[in-house]
Amino acid sequence: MKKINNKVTYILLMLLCFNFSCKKFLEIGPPADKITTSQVFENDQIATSAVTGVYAKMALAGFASGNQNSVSSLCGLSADEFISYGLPLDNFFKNDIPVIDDNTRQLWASAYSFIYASNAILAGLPSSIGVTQATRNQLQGEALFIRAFNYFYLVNLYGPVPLNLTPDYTVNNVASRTPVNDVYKQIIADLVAAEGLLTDPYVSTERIRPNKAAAEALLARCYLYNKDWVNAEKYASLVIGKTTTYSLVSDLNAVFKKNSTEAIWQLMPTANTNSLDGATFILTVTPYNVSLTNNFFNNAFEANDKRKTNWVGVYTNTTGTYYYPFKYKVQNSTTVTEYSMVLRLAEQFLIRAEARANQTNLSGAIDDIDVIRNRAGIPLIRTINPAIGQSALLTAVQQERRVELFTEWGHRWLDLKRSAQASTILAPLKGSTWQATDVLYPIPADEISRNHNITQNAGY
Amino acid sequence: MYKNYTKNPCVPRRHLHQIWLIMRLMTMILLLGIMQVSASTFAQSITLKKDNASLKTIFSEIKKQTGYSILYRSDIIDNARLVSVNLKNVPLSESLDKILKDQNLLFTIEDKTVVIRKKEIGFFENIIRHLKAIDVTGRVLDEDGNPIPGVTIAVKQTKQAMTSDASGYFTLKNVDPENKILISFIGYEKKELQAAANLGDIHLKLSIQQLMDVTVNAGYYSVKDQERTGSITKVSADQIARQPVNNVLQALQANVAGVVITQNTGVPGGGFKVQIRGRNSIQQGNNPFYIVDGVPFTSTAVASTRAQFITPDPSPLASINPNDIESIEVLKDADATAIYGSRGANGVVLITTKKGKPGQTKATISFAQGISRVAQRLDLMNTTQYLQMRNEAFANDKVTPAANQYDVNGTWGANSNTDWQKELIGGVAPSTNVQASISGGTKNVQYLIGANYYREGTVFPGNNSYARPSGNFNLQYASEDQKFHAQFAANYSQINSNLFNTDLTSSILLPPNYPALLDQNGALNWGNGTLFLNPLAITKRLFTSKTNNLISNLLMSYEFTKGLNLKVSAGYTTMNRADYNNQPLSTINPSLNPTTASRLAYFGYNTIDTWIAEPQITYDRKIGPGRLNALVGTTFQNSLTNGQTVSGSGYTSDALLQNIASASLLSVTERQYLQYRYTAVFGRLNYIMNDKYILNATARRDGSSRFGSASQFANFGAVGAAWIISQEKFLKENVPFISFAKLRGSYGITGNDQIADYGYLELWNTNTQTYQAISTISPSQISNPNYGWEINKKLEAAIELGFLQDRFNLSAGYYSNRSSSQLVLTSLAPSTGFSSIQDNLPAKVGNTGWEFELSSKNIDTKNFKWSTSVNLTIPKNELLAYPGLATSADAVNYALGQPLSILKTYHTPLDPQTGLLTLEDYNKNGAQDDGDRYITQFKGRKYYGGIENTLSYKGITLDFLIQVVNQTGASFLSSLTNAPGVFNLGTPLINQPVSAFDRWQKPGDVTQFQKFSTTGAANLAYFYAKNQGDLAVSDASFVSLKNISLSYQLPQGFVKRVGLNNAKLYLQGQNVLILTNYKGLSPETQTLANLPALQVFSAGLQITF
Repeated sequence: MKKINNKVTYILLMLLCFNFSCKKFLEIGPPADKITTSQVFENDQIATSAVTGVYAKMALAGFASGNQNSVSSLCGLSADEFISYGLPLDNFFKNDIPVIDDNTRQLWASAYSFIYASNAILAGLPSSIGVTQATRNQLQGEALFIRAFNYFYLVNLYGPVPLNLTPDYTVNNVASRTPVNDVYKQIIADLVAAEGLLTDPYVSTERIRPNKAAAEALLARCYLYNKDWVNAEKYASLVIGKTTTYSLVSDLNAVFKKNSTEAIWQLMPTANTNSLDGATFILTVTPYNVSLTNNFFNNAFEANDKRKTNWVGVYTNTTGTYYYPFKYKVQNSTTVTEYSMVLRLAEQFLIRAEARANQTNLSGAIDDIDVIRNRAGIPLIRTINPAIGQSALLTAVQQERRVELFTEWGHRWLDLKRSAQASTILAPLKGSTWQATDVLYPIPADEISRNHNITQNAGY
Repeated sequence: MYKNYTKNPCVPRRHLHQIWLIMRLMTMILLLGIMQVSASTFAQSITLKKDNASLKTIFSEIKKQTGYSILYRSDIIDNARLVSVNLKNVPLSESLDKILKDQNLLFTIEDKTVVIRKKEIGFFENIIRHLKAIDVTGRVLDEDGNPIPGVTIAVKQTKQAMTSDASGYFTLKNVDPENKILISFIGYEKKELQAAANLGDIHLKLSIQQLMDVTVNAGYYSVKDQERTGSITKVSADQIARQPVNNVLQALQANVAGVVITQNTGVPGGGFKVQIRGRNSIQQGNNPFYIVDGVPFTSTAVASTRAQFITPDPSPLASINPNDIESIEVLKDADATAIYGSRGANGVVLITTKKGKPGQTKATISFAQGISRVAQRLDLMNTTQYLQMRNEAFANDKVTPAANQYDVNGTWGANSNTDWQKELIGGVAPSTNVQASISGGTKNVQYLIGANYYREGTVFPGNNSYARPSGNFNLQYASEDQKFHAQFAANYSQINSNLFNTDLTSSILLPPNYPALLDQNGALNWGNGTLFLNPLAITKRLFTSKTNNLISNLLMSYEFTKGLNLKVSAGYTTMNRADYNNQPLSTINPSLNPTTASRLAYFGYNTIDTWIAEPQITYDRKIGPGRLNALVGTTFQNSLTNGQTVSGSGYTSDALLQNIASASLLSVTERQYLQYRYTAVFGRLNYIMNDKYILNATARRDGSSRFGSASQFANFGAVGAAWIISQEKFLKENVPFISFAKLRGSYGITGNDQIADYGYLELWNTNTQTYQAISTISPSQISNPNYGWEINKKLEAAIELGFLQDRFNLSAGYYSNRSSSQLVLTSLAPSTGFSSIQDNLPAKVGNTGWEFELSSKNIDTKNFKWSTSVNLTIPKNELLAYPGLATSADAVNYALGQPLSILKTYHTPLDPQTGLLTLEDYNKNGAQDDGDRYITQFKGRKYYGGIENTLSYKGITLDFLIQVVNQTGASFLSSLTNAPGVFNLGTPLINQPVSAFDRWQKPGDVTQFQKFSTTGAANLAYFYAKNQGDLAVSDASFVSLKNISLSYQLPQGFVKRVGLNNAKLYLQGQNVLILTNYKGLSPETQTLANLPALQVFSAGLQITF
């Protein structure tokens, strides 16, 4: 009987051991093709690849990509630049966007996925041991910049938005919408911090990762949008002053080339491809996504504006004549000559012109606007109208922004909105589908159904 | 809120105790068994001197010296007298004679075992019998005189046994002529004959009481159907063989109560939705657990994303030749599935492949040729009707067609009229099926080798095909003493498919005046930049896919002592799939100015490897008034999914596309690596008392790597009981027409771990895109380490009845399953950066239902037989609890007290003034929102079943299976892309059904469809109505002649004359006829995105040598 007892004990022990060894058997570690968050901050190279991962994704798809679903296309439709050729882009052209529209969902979700990545990087960097101080500063600066850049578009397209500053989904999933002013406060705080962390020289040989000047350029824009003319002028001047790095490209056909001297920040497209803007907008067949409105082609430009001939393409076939943005020259090629231009010097001159005009520094404003007009080959204001009044000058700046920055990053749409001219200009063009509330896009339906603290914009 | 649930998602503590109690009990029982026997090996002569020793000590000494095992019942030996012996080098048998001289015991030596028994016959008598021994020969035939191989012929008294060979002959050596010979074979009545040298031809009669003999495979054990406590349905090789199908899942359709199998696509290799007893899981993981010859088989196939364009979720079972399958057992209730623990929640499908049978070598060859086609058609507009619709739309909108409205402005012509259904899916696909197998063996070794070649063409344009050569091999070995058994099975197949990667079915909606897709030279027509879609471009993009699949299994068992077996089952399966897809420049619309960068080639390679090892101990013993069966075992399983797709670009010529080295740029577009480990200890206790009362308890403790370390393990178990009332005297004597009656019931807990691996980790993924030629990473998932198992509690009660010697059999069962702690991907607001996260949801889903099975032999004469079997299921699915549903993202998808498969819809009445469909603002808040989706429409089955009739007259057998399904589903309108009248140049899938002419024309009209219109507003109104409104759900009930099979067994005389054993001709049809009010291509798939299940006709010949 003793023997039996022994054996029973032995088997029971074995069963107990089984439980322990099983626990061991189930330890499989992370998958071979992925890494865990702690591994991301092991050294400079991998931490850097997390930041450049955001740029790669921005260039590929979503609001920043330059394809027909990006802000360049959709805001161009919402404003008076593009016409559409069928659904679903019609919804934007007619300013009649359903809450279930997939494009607005993509705009929203892509911006927030980049915000998540920057929040995760900002959360992980401080505790990392393997990342050197210099790289840490650089990456923190870039992550803050990315977050600010994304919130800039969210707040402009949607108004108050949830301001998520942590990667913790349990917090973010129940966040409410933050007032526009507070979002801007955070954007400016992030950019000021980024400006302090980033250096003037680019970290690589190309202009495809934000540097100090990129933070300053975006700050100038944000201050302008908030009518802080002093700071807008200050930061635009900081960028314009860096003349050894930045200068206008005299040949209009070379402005959007990669690493052009006008570029403050460009996004590098996927390997072996050029910027998606060229592929999206250049017409070689009857348009089926978008083309420039005839009104824009016929009426926007002054006579002899070189931008009309260099930056607008014409395609004619049996069905008619169509116009398209021709700033990017390459539709499709494996030879990469063009990157996607995000921030460029010309805008800084126009920002400073507007800021100076608003501070009644009319002469300074004329100087700045004439830099742009000069390149476009049209008469300088200094020459034709040196005594121009403040309000006429501000109108001239708006007009100059329209023809300089058309179909880039939704500038026209945002300008119409911030100058409160959207209804005045768009209502006659769009007809009955235009409503004053259309200046804000609808919050995507699934955002509202999944987070009950989010309210819908008026009019949807 | 979830935490309380996730922390302890498992069985209550009370159950845990019970399970451990059962485990301990089993261990004790096994040990007691072991203690009684021991064995060793040495000499065969005995030298022994003992005085007044117990037989026990003497026997243990003999064991030591000879190595022979000595078997006895302890009670016999304990009562024996003490013995004094003095032996010197005396042979074993002589020694035993001396030792047992004065005892009332006798012994027999078989091989290396000495069996001690109580003396019943005199020793002398025994010797005489040995001298009189004869060799018994004979031949076993069925009622028609056909030989039956594999029949067991046994000597009743000695248990000596043999099986008949392929021609039915047998020989039993050294049989005492006083003994009786027992002849038995499954499905036939037993026969008992007096032993004689030549028994001649013995005719066996088909058994009416088949139920008594049928054995059902329950996975780790098998059980006599009669003694079964759980719910298991068996589908036999015969039922499978009748159906000309390429995937065995098709053959299960309508054949099993409680099981819904729908075919997602008619493209070979395509996926199936399989649901056993309803949908338990709100979101995912409703697949049953598949096991092939004891080895878990993946329920999701390996395939690159591009490979899934044409066959979404391809079925891994497509790799298995249906002809290789001997039987399929579907395990449904807790009693049957709890031994599979965490993977039994959605039922278990056991597939057993064919094995060799003892007897002369038998060769079978069959050849079948068939055709397949799409049997149903949509009633779409012709050019006249189409143009009428478009022109009316322009008139309604008061606009004139724009320059690029090519369909109406004359560019495409008003005279051409193409039937795109005929062009694109109207082909007839030939199929060929050749099968050969050789099997046979002796009592100790049996083998089977089979080979199959299956090839199916396509109903799409072109000569593409899907081919599956396969081979299977099975070897069984038993040692001479039948103590050691080994079995090896291997099944290998290769699928070669060059079907293109996109289903052309949705392209049947091209406008009827769309220009020809090929020009006069056979080149793709792009209409000089006026055509943006040419479906035939896809057919010119090579897509080849090769899937290799090996399933192997080794099973070894050793019987230590009577009833105690150690068994080890080890299995390895590997499936790999290589996909190649290209995009030559010549297939791209030239007006898009494609560059060399548009030349692309994709090289996908994916594998899944699984190994499993399961050592087990079984114990079988008579205890008290009944029989005990015990089993303990453990499982160790590892699965590794690994794969990637590499895309090559920058080719300089279309001709180089197949060479990966010719690409100037390679990038990894997909990468997958998933490891899954799984371990368990499981057990079973079964006790059958007086052949009447049966108790079955199973338990399992599982651990899975899919969960965070805090919740990896959980316990599962079930208790089943049955009472065979027909064994009771009162029933036997009073109700003679009831030949069989059994009540059974079970209750238990199973689980579900069908979620993605690694869900508990926060991970970053390497992007396909580099930045400055350096690789980049992005967040790929956020983590939640706390989720645990989904739990499914199952209850079942059933009655099984047989009448008039089991001529009529009826079984009726009721089940009630509750699934809780739901594993879900909880939707997250997109502003979190992700759309979902893995979690447990404390929601409860109930599945209840009735299952009926009836079989009857309506006519059973010598020449004419007619039998019918019917199954019927009435299921009910209900969301029982969902805390916080109203405020969750699921509020719009589900409703408490309703089935999961509902669609909440808007009320979308037609405005008789504007002629447009509208959305009712139900909650009167001035906005269109989810609160307006107040109508709950059910999409699912109300009842379903199958009726099978088999009629045979002499050698002719006619079998037909009718499937009956009462259901509602997605209306076919929901898969139309645009509203009637709308034009879409980019994707011109804009033709409409003729029924759209029931449209609004003038104010006051009340019609089903809105006015023809080209506007976005009309399109949106129609979109809501057909997807989330009144037009979204329709009746999809159908009655179909699922299968019909006619076979003719050639007369034996003729067959023998030409030197064959057997020959059969057959005609088979699948999906022959369907009666339905459903307007779409198929009430089953309910979509235009996929090819419907094809109609198949096949003719074949099978011969056996």
